[in-house]
Amino acid sequence: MIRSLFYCLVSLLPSLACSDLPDRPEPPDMSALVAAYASPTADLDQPTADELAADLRARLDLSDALDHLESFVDDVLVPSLEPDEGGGTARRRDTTSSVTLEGDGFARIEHVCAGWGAEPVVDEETNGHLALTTTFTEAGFDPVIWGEAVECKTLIADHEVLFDGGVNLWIGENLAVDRFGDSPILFQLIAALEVDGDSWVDTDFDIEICPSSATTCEPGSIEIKIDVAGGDLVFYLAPGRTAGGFRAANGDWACTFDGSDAVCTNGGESVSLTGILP
Amino acid sequence: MRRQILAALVTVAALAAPARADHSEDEHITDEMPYTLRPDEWRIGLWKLERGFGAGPVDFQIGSYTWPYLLWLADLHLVNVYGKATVWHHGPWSATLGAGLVYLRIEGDPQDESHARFTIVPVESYLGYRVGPHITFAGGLVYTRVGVDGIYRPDDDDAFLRGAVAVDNLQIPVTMEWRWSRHTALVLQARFLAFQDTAGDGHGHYQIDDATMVDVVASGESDVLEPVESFALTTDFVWSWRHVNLRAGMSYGNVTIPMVNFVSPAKIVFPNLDLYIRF
Repeated sequence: MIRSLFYCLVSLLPSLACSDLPDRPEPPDMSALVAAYASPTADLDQPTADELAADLRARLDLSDALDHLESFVDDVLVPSLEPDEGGGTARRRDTTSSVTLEGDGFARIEHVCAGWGAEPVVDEETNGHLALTTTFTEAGFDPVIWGEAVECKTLIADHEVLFDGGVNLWIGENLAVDRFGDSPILFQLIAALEVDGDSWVDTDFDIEICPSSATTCEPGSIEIKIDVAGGDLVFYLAPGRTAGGFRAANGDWACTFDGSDAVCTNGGESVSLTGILP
Repeated sequence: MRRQILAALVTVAALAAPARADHSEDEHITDEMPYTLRPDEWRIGLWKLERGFGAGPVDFQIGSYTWPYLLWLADLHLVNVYGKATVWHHGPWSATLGAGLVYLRIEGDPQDESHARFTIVPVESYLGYRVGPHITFAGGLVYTRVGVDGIYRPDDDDAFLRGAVAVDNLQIPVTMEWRWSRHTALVLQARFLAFQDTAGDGHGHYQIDDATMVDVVASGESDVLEPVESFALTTDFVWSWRHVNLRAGMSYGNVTIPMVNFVSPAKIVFPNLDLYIRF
């Protein structure tokens, strides 16, 4: 009470320790996409399976090209944001200075893309860059990391990939700073995209990946949302394609794979999909 | 040299000789009490230099802590000034308002952009009631904001840390002055800390590797610097002669650093001493 009263009075005084720090930016709203992954709205039946097969194949091709997307998390985000073992800070590799994420604020990461050569080259003019922003509070990271890729050239699983546009990541609510990379990350690309010189028409692509250091999901597993006429459903795939299936409004459909084909069952019903796996 | 010392001692003894009433209705102890120096009166002491002024019905004083100027010997150019005015005086009642400013800027090397700036502003108010010729009660509110801001470049590359921290505290001193004689008074004081909060914001720029830079902008608040159940109890004796005043005593509790008004966390027994002349 005393404190509140005095802060009211003191707020009338000019700040004695003012600084010209930038305002905390507002992240984009990814709640609709997150809700779509959490609760698929479309039923899966044979007509729907036929409808989605081509789109799923295209997206799996893309996810295959981005197969090691989690390496981006390991190589860029985790060293930038994850605390060292002492807690609270990420230690620079070459000096004693450190990143501290405490209180209420935001961090901006600027990363010069590695290029398409066998060895990464730090050349922003040639290889472009990636700029990401994350906000945080005492409770941990806010759920969305966002930013943009500017003519960003990088090798992903030996594929020459070029990003140019928006990149959003959903990392979950109040993820503790020292738990970054432990949970699934939902990537949303709103970007022009080229893989091995081929331009991808669908530039609004999203995929949920499980980072290699994750503890709350199976590392390397993915989920992809597929839009169909009746809404959307989610295709999931374990690492090595040992297991997979669909989450749909009418239940969970586990699939068995035979080459590029799949048969998915739910109770006594089954649907078949042809040529969905690369 | 011996003659000069002897002359100084004789002068002090002459000044110290009891001559007239100094704990009078007209002359008061002014430290943490709702009174000021009389117009045109000076106070020169171990710790402070003050001058009284009069402006119509309002008496006020302006002063400066003298000991911080020793820091200039270490090339730390600290300046400070404070003032207090008797804003209300009615019968046995008296009230004062005061404020101050302390400023220090610490520079790095000429080639180094690193620097720190300290700005301290105390604002205080006292209200007192003189029960009779011997007893005066006084209570006060002392609010202080300590602001620190600066920039630090830890090494040769473009990494830097810059930011600002503010420590706010509010203290409540309650004082009783008991005049035993015209020259001797007992001052009892209880001093409580209502709060001492820390708030800050900062910007760090880090080079994670050759290809990755991170900028972190953060702010936060904490009461980590607030001592638990902070208080200090003081018993001082004040002897006042014609010009010379000596104040000495002991305190127990959390030490309040003068001028900064920052309250230290540990409770200890500590001495109080002040020697000053008023003329």
